[in-house]
Amino acid sequence: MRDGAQEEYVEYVAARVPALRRLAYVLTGDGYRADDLVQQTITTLYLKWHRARAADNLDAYVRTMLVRGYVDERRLAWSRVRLFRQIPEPEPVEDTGAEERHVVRAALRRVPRQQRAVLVLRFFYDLPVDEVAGLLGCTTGTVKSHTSRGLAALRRLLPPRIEVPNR
Amino acid sequence: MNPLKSLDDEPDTPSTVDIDRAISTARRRRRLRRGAVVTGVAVVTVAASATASLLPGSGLPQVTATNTAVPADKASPVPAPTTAVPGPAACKLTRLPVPDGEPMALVTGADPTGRWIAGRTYPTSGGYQAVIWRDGKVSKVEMPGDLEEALRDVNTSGLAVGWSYSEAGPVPYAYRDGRTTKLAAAGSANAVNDAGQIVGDDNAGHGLFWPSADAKPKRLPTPAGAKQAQARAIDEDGTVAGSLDLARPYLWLPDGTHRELPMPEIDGKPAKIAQAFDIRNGWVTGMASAAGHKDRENRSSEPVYAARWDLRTGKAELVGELQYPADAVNAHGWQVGNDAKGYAVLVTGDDVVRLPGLGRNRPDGTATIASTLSDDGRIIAGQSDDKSGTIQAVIWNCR
Repeated sequence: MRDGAQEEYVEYVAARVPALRRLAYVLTGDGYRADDLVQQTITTLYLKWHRARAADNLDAYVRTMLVRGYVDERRLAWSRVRLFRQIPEPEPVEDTGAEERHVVRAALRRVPRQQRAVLVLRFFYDLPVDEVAGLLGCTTGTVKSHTSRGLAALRRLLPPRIEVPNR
Repeated sequence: MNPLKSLDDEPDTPSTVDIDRAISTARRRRRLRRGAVVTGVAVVTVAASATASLLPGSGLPQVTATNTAVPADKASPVPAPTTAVPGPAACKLTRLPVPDGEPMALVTGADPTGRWIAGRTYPTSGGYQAVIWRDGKVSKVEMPGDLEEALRDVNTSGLAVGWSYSEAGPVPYAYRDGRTTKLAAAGSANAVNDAGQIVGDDNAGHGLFWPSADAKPKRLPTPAGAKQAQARAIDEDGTVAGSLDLARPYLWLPDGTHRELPMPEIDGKPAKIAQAFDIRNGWVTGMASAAGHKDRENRSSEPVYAARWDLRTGKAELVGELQYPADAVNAHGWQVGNDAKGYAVLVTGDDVVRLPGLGRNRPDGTATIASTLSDDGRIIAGQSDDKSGTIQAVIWNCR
């Protein structure tokens, strides 16, 4: 890349890596998988940098890339069939009065992937239903059904002391 | 307060994200993509013909073989290898039909003849629909639960196995002639052989073996020190292939014994980790890497190699023709996978046959994936992104 674009890319990515790792960590529930997802996202971002840097909201653009990468059926089929990125599952966390976030993370890990992505976007990033639908490339109806199923799953998995939102 | 808000922390593992590596990987991909554009026109006509000597494997380590740490088991009932069978020279691509004009579909498994193919479609209304094709005719498979479902394998009598998500996690099922059988309270069924023996897992780290779809599962034994076992595939004689802790390639033999497979060599050194994913007629395919799961520095930069074991000779080798581990192996030891340029290929004894796709190739090997391979090498099924980038279930007829 010429015209300073590469420096711009490096500067932007270096500043955003912590935020991207947080997002990837909420989604994947695992540090290694999170880093793989971030690495994949910033690699693709480099290839699309000229288009991306012109985006109205670059952070949202990159977040969309990462979340789509996470729920992408192509990647899913690929990782499921090829399994080569798979690493041992972390041990499930019991409710031994552990810190709330550990318990929540463990519960979230057991929610199917699409639902997990919807829950994270709606309740971690506070995005409205239509925005989540646009981001994931599905209908608002699908977002709503994933939300209610995902919340139901969390309610079942989390100890009563942790309150789950209704909708 | 909303509990998800408590998750605002970075992973507690040190970061392995590397901007320089992202840039170099991206540049390599761009180069490959440009290369693909240049040859794009030629591909249309050449794609369906044999392309032997496709790639000298630039950057690949020497494909050394022969780790004889574990000698061949002479008492093994595995039949002699059928060598010198010529492979097909060209493959023709056709889309598989889907019910109700559903927009997206993919293939998840097939029987050794290729007459039965399992897969799933993605109805417009959302969710997933498991399907089976018999001689190219599709029918829906109604599985309990409506979260997510997949059939993973099917045998020559049409017995299919898979899993469906319940609110509590995956549940293993068998399916035949419109009838679904719940195989256990929790877990997944991954593979079935023509004798109707099934392997899978209990979703709690144990491998399971079902003598038949009507029988209770038995837990596969593991040696001391292994935390988890993965049972991936089963051969006709009942040999189960998989791994321990996703790191050691492992076999469970029909006589009840079990043993580790030898590590293939990478650049003259035994691989740090390897896993077996598929088995057929004594041929086992899987992955190998020089970086272990805990090698934080190079875990995501070390390549993952395709590996193949021959249980008759005990030989383990890397498969230089493939960019990733093979997606399937057949009775001749032929494999399907993706080559270094991302194209789906059939690797036979001597030839590499490129499989045409519906749309444009991608160097990362996600545009077209061959998921199954018949014993005669004539029927391959898988998925290919169409021109709009949507995944479609496809079949290749080779001759």
